[in-house]
Amino acid sequence: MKLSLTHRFLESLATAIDSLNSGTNRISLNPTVAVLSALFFTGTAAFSHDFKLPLLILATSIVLALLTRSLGRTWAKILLFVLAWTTMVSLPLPFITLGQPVARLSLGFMEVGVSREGLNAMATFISRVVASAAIFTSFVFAMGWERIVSGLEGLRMPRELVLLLRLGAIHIPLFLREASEILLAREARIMRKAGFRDLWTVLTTVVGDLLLRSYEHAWRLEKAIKARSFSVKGPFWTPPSHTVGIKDLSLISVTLCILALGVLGVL
Amino acid sequence: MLLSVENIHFKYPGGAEVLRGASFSADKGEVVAIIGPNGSGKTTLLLVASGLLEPERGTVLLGERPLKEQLPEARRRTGLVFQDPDDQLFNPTVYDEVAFSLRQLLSSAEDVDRRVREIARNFKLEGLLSKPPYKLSMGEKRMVTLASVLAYDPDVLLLDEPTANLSSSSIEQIEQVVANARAANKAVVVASHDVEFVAKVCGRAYVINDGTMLGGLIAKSVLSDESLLALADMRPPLVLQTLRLLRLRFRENPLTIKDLVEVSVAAT
Repeated sequence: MKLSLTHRFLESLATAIDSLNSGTNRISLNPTVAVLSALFFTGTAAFSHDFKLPLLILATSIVLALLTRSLGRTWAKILLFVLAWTTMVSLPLPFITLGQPVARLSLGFMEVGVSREGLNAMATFISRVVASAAIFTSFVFAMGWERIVSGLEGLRMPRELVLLLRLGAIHIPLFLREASEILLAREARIMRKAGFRDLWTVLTTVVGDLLLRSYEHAWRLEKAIKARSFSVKGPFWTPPSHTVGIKDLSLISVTLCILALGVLGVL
Repeated sequence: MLLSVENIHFKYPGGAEVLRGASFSADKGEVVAIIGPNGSGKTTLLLVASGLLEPERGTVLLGERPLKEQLPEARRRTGLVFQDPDDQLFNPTVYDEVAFSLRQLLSSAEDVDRRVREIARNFKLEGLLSKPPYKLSMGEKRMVTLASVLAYDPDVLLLDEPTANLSSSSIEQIEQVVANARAANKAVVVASHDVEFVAKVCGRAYVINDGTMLGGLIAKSVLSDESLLALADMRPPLVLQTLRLLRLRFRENPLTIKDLVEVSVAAT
């Protein structure tokens, strides 16, 4: 383990959040309609009974990603990560779920059965998680986090929550880069070949500094917001007005169709 | 006096007393400097002067009335620019940053838009309006912080280390902004380490040391007084140091190159 690896990880994470903040903006969707659709799609995928509806939603996410030209390597990486993680988590399902056996595996000292119901449960679980991740991230990639927050604002989310989300989106990359700089500065002072224990010690010393800096930064930020807030109600944003176009109507129609399929149990 | 800060005592929770009887004042069309070493209480004093921190003792008067009684409406009369722009900028785009205060003050979106574009033109930020502020250079960020505060046209401008980490061309831009604010009859208070900057823009200067204030005299005499400056852990401007090393004396101490040229021409 090297500190430079941690540095690279923090830098990549900051860059990824930066790109998610701005999005591709290839399709100008009404943020409120888009967020509503994203939430419906994600909910439908996450709570579906089998894997057919999630597969349809996954296909929709690919279409959206293609339309917005956001089907990049980062998006694929996220999905692959989700796929790998859910596969790992759901791996025991075919073996522990009771049902019609489709295969038997001999492990030498014991024999285990693979059930059809278990395989079904595994496929459903994976497809639900991957589809919900795919559809929501495709919306985030297409619109950018800022417009997602704007959509939540349009849905009349509590003002404080919107403010927190917005500040988080802006300040998390700054915080990550600061952490990365502190690490580099500490690494520059390691004059001998450092073992895992030395590096771990350095990493742990960063935590306290980061907490302190974050607190100070948050304290000053609160003062900065207060300094430009002229009413007792505190800071506020006027939600920007967005028109509803033909693209938004098409999106909401597709969303409602898929939602209806889910609710009626057609698929 | 437009802004009068009198006998301020302030202590952070669990900490030592940062300000111990600090006082200063600034009037319309005046640029006042507060100079002092790191940790002397300059930033805290500006936060108290803008009503963001409440002192344990002492008063802040804005237009002869206690600032405390006029809050939060009085915040539109004071504009505080923080030392680190990243502490101040919190909007997704430069446009939103400048519009943040205007959206609270102006009723129509068209008026907000018009004012934002006017300010952007004045500060040469037109090309940056759609960019996220945290992705700008330090000089650009500084101009955005100034624009976002001057957008609502405050009477008092409080600048905390405005030239920190800036290139010389950015410092020149800041000098111009301060000169314009003075010309617009605003009271400008500058907390700074930068003796060259203070020499160029400030009319009066206070030295803050260990939470107490000294001076309040004409900036020229404060910046020529080595013993007073030593309290602020500062040296006189380079022009004056050079003249002293060369044992050259003029009737008036030149603090900037422009002053030096003027006194040299007058002397010859």
